[in-house]
Amino acid sequence: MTTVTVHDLAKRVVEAVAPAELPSFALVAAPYLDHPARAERAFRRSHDDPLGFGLGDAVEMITPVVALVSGSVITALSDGVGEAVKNGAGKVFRKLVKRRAVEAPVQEWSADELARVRATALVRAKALGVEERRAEALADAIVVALLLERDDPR
Amino acid sequence: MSAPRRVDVRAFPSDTTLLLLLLTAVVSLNAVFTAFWLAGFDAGGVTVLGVVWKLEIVLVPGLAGWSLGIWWRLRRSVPVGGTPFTDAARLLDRLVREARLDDPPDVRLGPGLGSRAFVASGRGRPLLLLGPELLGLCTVSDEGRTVFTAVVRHELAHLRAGDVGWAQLGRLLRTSNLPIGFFVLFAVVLDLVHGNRSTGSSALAALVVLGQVLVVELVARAFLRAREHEADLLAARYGVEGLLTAVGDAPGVRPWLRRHPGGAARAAVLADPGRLLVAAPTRLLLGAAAAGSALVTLRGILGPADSTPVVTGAVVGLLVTLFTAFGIWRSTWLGGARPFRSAAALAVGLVLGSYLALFPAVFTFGAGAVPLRPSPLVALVLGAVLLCLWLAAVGRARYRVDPRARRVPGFLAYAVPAAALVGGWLFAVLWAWVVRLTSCADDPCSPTAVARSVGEDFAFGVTPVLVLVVVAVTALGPRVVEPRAAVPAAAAVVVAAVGLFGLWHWAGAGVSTLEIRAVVRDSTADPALDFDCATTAPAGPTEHRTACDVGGGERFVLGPAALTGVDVETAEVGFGGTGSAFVVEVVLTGEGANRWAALTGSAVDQRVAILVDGAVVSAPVVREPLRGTTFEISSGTMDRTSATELATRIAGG
Repeated sequence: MTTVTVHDLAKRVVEAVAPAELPSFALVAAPYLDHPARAERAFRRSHDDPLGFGLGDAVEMITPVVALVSGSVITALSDGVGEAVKNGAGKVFRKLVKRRAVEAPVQEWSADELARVRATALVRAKALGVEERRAEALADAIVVALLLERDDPR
Repeated sequence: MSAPRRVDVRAFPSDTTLLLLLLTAVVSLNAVFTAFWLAGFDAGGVTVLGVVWKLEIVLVPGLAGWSLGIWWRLRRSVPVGGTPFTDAARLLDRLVREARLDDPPDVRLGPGLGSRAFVASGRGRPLLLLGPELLGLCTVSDEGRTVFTAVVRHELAHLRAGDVGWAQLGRLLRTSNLPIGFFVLFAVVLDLVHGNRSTGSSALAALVVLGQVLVVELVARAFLRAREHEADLLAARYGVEGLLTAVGDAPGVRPWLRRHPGGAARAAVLADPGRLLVAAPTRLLLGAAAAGSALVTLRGILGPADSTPVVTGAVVGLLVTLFTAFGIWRSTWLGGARPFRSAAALAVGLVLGSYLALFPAVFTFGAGAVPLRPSPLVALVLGAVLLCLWLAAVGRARYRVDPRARRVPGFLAYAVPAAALVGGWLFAVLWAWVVRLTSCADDPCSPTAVARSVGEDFAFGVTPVLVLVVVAVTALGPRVVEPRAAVPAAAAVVVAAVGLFGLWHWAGAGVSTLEIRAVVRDSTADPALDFDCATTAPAGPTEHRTACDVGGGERFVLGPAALTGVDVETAEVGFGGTGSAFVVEVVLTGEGANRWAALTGSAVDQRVAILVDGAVVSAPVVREPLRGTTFEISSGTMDRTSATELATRIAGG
């Protein structure tokens, strides 16, 4: 069975929404793909390093958000989108074992399932601080990237 | 809203550097105290080697943390030149060359740093560490490249200003303070377990340790925040747009606790650098608290010598006065000097800090701190108000002739020594007052007697006159003096002069000087000792002197004064042992009783001389060490009237 990985999905999304970030994708996305929970905590935290810059969130790259959203989408797909979105039981289990899926099986997703994927991506992107319009675009790009992975795998 | 004043903020010395020096003094004193204290447990007692070794134990965690930090940063990073961020590497090269640093940094990528960047010390040369998200910004968009450039320039400005060394010192101090607090807490817990200390006392000691750690941490963070503003201003020389975009305009969350000011505060300073000149009262409060703690700790380390209060007050007072002065003067050039607010922060900080000293926390909470009694508190507040009014008047007078701050070095050339002299003298007097009050804490002294003794010792002589002259000349001397500056200055001078005159009148009327000295030679045992009694001159308490008895028949060579009038609590008329003559019964203070015991212990079978106004009224032979708090003065010829007069004069002195 063919699968889609978080890395491939995230890269395809970045290619679509922020192609300028592609050259640095590997280095920027690596912490978010390898240790998503730890990287997300650092991402959300307000940094205050001695002799650092301190702020710097005014202009930021989209790659970290794409990597984290892609991870959530792939985890949801591997758990079964419907269940994950409906009752969150899979999410609770994953939290208990502190593990996220890195790949999900590629299949013929129904329109309903794709809509749930989009909803998952949208909620997650907004939770990560992405503004509404950009979050919508990102969620759309995730769905498109999933379909491309299915129809035109790399 | 008024337009920003065009004043070069860098023309003024940084009060935050003095703040860090105060912090260094506090932690160093704590470290020395802890080292002495730990060395006291050694079998051979306190030795130099023992103290140095214990000092090492206290300081090693800080040094080890520093080395580990460098090792960890190098291990977790790679040179940017070897990464795919080639555009960013080229731009970084250019920015580093442009900064013209004496010691260019080793620029490295920290894969886990995200969008962060900071400078730190490295092996041999400083490190500039950047996260991949920040490096990636360089190629994402023009706006991203602008922000990247602004952030890197800000970091290079830290290097140019030497902030890495300062920050390292701050880190060393903070990490050294933790083991010191640990040792103190450990001692407190041991005392509690062995029943030598109550739960309440232990809780207070723990609070003191926490307070001390908190003050040190807050001071270090206040210093770092100030350096961030300075780095922003240095970086802004190349353009402010990128910086404004990077800092944003969000207000800081709990800004007093963070190492960086909020975005809104940084943007405001970038728009009007003069804001940096305004001294924050919280910073003054922190500095004063550090000074209050240093006063008590230094006094504890120096011991009960007579000169301790003066040395302690003068040294720490000088530092805290300069710190206050820089804050007030910097504010003056923005029209924001508020001397009463500064005085309140100074007085409150000093009192609070004196209760946060670790030294007494090990033994008795609050020992050696400023007593919460009206007389020392009023004196402290009055002193702080007069000092701040004078400092504000000095700054205001200078501002009138140099509103653009173009000749600040010339101003500082006379203002700094003047502030050091006035502040050093003022705090020496105030601290001597506090020490004399607290030295008889078990048997409360009369505030009046203490005030008189302080007035007698400090209000007359060359120094107070010099201080008054300096106060008047610096506040009124500049060519143009506007009434606003002259009024408080003149008021301060008048109040000080009236105060001095009052003390002179009060202390000088009907007061005798009492001294008790060991007899080195006397004409009874050594008839060869002969001199003209009219030629005997007064001598300082630490010097030997000659004296005659009241009748002029016996002559003495005497050692340094072991006790003086300061050590006297009360003096009353009584009857002698036979009831045939009147005597003066002298009651000593707690510290006076200790000195009396030490004197009589070292002079068994020898004579000690009791002098009143330079004449020996009694010179008994000590048969055994005397540990009481009272003794009698009897000359064998005193009647009720002369005894009453003598008692009144001794009690007054």
